[in-house]
Amino acid sequence: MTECANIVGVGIHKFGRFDDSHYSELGLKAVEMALEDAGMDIKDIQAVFCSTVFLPMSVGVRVLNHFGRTGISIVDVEAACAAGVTCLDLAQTAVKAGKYDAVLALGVEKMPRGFMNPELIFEKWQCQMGLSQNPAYWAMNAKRHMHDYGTTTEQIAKVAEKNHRNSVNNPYAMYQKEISLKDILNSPVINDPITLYMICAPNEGAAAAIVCNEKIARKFPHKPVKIAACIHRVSQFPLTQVAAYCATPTDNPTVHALAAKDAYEEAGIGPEDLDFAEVQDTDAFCEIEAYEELGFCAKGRGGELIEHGVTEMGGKIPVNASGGLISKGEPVGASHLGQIFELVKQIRGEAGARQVSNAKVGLAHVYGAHGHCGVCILKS
Amino acid sequence: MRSATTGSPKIKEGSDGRQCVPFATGFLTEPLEPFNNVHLKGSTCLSCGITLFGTRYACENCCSKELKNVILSRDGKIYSYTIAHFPPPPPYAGPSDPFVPYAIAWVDLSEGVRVLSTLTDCKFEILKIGLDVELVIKKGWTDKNGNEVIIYSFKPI
Repeated sequence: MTECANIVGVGIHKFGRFDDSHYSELGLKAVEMALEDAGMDIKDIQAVFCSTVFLPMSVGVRVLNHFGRTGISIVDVEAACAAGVTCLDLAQTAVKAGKYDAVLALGVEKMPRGFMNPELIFEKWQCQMGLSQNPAYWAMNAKRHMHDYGTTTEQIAKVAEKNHRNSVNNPYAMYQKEISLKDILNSPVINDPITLYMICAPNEGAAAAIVCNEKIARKFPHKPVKIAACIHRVSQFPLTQVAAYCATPTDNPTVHALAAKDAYEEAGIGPEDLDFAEVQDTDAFCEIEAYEELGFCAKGRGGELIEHGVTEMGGKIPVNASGGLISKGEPVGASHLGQIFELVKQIRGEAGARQVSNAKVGLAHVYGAHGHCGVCILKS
Repeated sequence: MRSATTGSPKIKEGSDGRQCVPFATGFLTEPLEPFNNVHLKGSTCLSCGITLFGTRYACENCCSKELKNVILSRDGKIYSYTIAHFPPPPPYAGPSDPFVPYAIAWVDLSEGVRVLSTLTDCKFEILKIGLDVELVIKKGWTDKNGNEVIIYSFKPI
């Protein structure tokens, strides 16, 4: 087995809305923090992969230009909400292949305000017919699960309540406010059973990770964090979420199960070996589904996990100690690298008030439109 | 075999002088009138046996190019549903001034195909998983060339 690639520096620009900042400034902040964290100079970076979905041409180049033109390869990567994992995977693959010693994985995003043009995601006829709303897909998914397994709206709300509560300790989250279960349940219905405080806000942000091979990783200030697995998969048939219109059932595993299986195999561990996780909570029900799909519990039992506090801070496997997407928001291209930032901070013991005790092995799960799914496992 | 989502619709002259076009190519049988003679088109894969909505270049499940064109059944059951309370942004072509809330459902047709659809003539109170529904073909909107765009929907039986 080839040696793991290592993360030697991470950086982030807080997620939120920054109308006065150009996107390249968000990226600059994240890269600057990562370089400082790694004790590196820009000239030490030998290639850049930049994940972004809603920004224009050559974002990576336009961020890195602020630091000076070093002539290296800088490439933008798009894979919907999983763009960050593909970016990290390209970086670690290049490093493990020996092509480069140090590669920057950067994610930058500014989501359009208000409604984004749905034709970026859906065919025109889907938009014209009124079949292009993301929350409609999430709600139908949740509703069926409630029908099949008895999952309740209250359990879904408890996930949101946990994540909002966790965010109070995360200065990089857009919202850092506790919201009561009652207020979550009584917030405006988006698509039943999903209410306003159960969903994440599209917003802006940037995150970066510097990836090195094992040999040079030891030279840097912090103990390197190993990338034990970095998997990107696109859903087999059927895609059941955005932007599917035909989902005839099959025996194929879901893309989450597919990516998780490959990740656990690559890392040589099982879900029981995880100390904590950051998972996709575009809406709070997604997190319950992630518990099941990532193997934290059997299919249909996800609601029980939140009921019994298993995924709370101090529980057996704290999930979304960062506050999740519900609190951070989802700047799509930056989202997964934001999770990686959190995982690295936790594993190093630098997560402050939101520190998970004995955080040695963490998993980050990201999922989005068109069946993109990423699972990364980092370990100390 | 063209995939259902590409290509511009052919224009067929309606019997009373209207020009009818399908919402997209590859999903509806022609002629597009009378509406109760229009069916949903599907593809059955001769390799893995799955049936998909629309004409296809290859089987989305197993990649085989051995596909048979089929007509899908008109009857189905709701697998899951939701109600759109907020008007979608343009290019949504349904009523938007004022916006008329509508239901959306995953519908399981009797041969096992699951399709996403709006629901028509549907009182929201009766909506439930397992509700029987049937195909409706209707005019969706008028396009910028004055053609009537024909769409599918489902309604409770």
